[in-house]
Amino acid sequence: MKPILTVEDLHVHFVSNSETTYAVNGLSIKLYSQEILGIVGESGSGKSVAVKSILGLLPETAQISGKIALGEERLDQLNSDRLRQIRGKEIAMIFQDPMTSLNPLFTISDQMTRVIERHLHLDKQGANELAELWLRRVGITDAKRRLNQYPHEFSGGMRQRVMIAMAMSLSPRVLIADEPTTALDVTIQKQILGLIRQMESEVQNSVILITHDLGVVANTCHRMVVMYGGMIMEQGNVSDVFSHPAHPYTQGLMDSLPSENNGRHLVPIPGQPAIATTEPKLCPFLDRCPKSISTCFQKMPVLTEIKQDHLVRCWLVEQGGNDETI
Amino acid sequence: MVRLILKRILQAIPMLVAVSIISFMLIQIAPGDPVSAYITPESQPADIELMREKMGLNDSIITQYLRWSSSLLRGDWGYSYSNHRPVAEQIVERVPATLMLMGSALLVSIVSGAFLGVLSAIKPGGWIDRLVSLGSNIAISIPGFWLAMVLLYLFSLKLGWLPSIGMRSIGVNTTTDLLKHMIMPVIVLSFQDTAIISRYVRSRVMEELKEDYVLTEIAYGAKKSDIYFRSVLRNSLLPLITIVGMSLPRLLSGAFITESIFGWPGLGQLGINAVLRYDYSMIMATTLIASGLVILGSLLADILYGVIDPRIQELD
Repeated sequence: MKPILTVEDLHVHFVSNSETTYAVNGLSIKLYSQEILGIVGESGSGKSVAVKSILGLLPETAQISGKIALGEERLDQLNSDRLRQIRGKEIAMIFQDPMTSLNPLFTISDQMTRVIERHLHLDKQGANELAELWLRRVGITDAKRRLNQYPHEFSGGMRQRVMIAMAMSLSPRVLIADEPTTALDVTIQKQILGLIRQMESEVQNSVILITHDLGVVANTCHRMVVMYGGMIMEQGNVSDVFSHPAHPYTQGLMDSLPSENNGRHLVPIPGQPAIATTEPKLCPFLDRCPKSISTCFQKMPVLTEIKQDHLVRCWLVEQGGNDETI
Repeated sequence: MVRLILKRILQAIPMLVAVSIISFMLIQIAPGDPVSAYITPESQPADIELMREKMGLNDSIITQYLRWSSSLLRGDWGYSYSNHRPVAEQIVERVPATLMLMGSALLVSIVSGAFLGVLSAIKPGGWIDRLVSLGSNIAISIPGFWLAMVLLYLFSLKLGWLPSIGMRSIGVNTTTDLLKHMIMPVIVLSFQDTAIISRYVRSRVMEELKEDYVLTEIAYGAKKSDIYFRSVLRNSLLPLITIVGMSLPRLLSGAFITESIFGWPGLGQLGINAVLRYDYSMIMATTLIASGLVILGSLLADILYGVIDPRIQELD
């Protein structure tokens, strides 16, 4: 099957006068049609930077290399006019904080119809009707009246629904949701994730869901990628990764997940994720890894397939000894 | 919204009363005597005393103030000692000219200040930014009357492009003629505010560009010019309303000076001539009207705030 979105050997560096930050280091991702791909990682793991580089949303200080393709079209080589056509229309994005990601001085109708008119070339009335339709579809009652309200008249969860409606109204091939529920409380979080799943199956597009919450991935995604230090540590089907987490980092994330069933205490991963200021030569998780072996201090592990579609970057796996079955 | 406006209007009334008391007291403190305008070297002390009694100058200050303010309310603003015409009539004649000058200057400084501010925020440190910054530094440093002299020398005296004085050429009644007369006074009155506003808008826009909604708009394919001049500018203009509201007194006193340099037949010229001629009722009337205009201006600023920012109406 051909992927819809391909990211190959993506590197993103931020260069300032004093130092260079290596945010993404050789990331490769394939997104297939009608799937929800979860990207998991702590803050600073490079997940958000990676997806922002897909649409060219990073500041000018970012140096990006690698291949990014939507279908056959190379996004990293586009001129700005074509890129603007892709933004929203082909790849739409929703962001972490719905309280601030809408312009406070324009009505929902203003903001939605402007985007719809731009991409779907509808007239004002058609755009307004489509906006209303989508507000209803994401579960906003009294959509006609709500359309003429300002963002501050909506609650956080409602605003995220508006953002989803705005994204979906363009029927994009890919929806990127960058921590869409992090700023919302848990019950709302569940509704929003349910909505994203529902939209994905109705519109039949593909979704990249970025989160730091493994629970979100387990309930929402088909495949998942675990990122650390701007690299993929582990990748595979959600069921495979959850039943046989092979990387010590993934295992650590699982252990720090609250669970009602196994009665164990939460086990946090010691230390903080470090931001790389030199090009990584060894496993970025090394200084926090409880299971490191001597090989880890010598060279960078490569991403190895341990089962079909289940890939892990760890020297322990190479030696065949780290399948911790839960 | 209506409640907000009513509230602001009610708040403006005590302010006006306070201003009337202060301007009345200032006149009392000022050296000189209204009677001095009427006496000749031949006047006898008894005549002068009679005059004082007739003008009510021997009453207590409070009685004088109440008499003055109640006649103000009845629309009787007194007579000008210098030309013996009703003060109110002359003020009504003059206010439009001043409002026209101030309004145009305000418009010019907001539009050009906002435009230059956004332009320099697009690429901070770029050549446009440095040029605008240099220009505004110069503009803030040079005094208005000096610029007025230079402009007069250059464009009226040397090049002869622009008329040097007045509002209209005698016998000509066209808009072009009026605009020609306005160019220099408006430049002199607006250049400093343009500089201040452009600096302010620049820093506001740079702050505003960091907001999340800007990223949303980029991610949905908005053009850069749309983002800068539509979304971000509107958000940046909000606090600008306050700045402009606060700059009104300065603008008005600037108008007084500019009017007398360019012979613009407005309130400022009227006021300054009144001061030079000890024309008491005229001085008090112009002071009061000038303060009234400033209060009205900040009232409008408040209302405008509510119109532009939907969140303010919510608070009400």
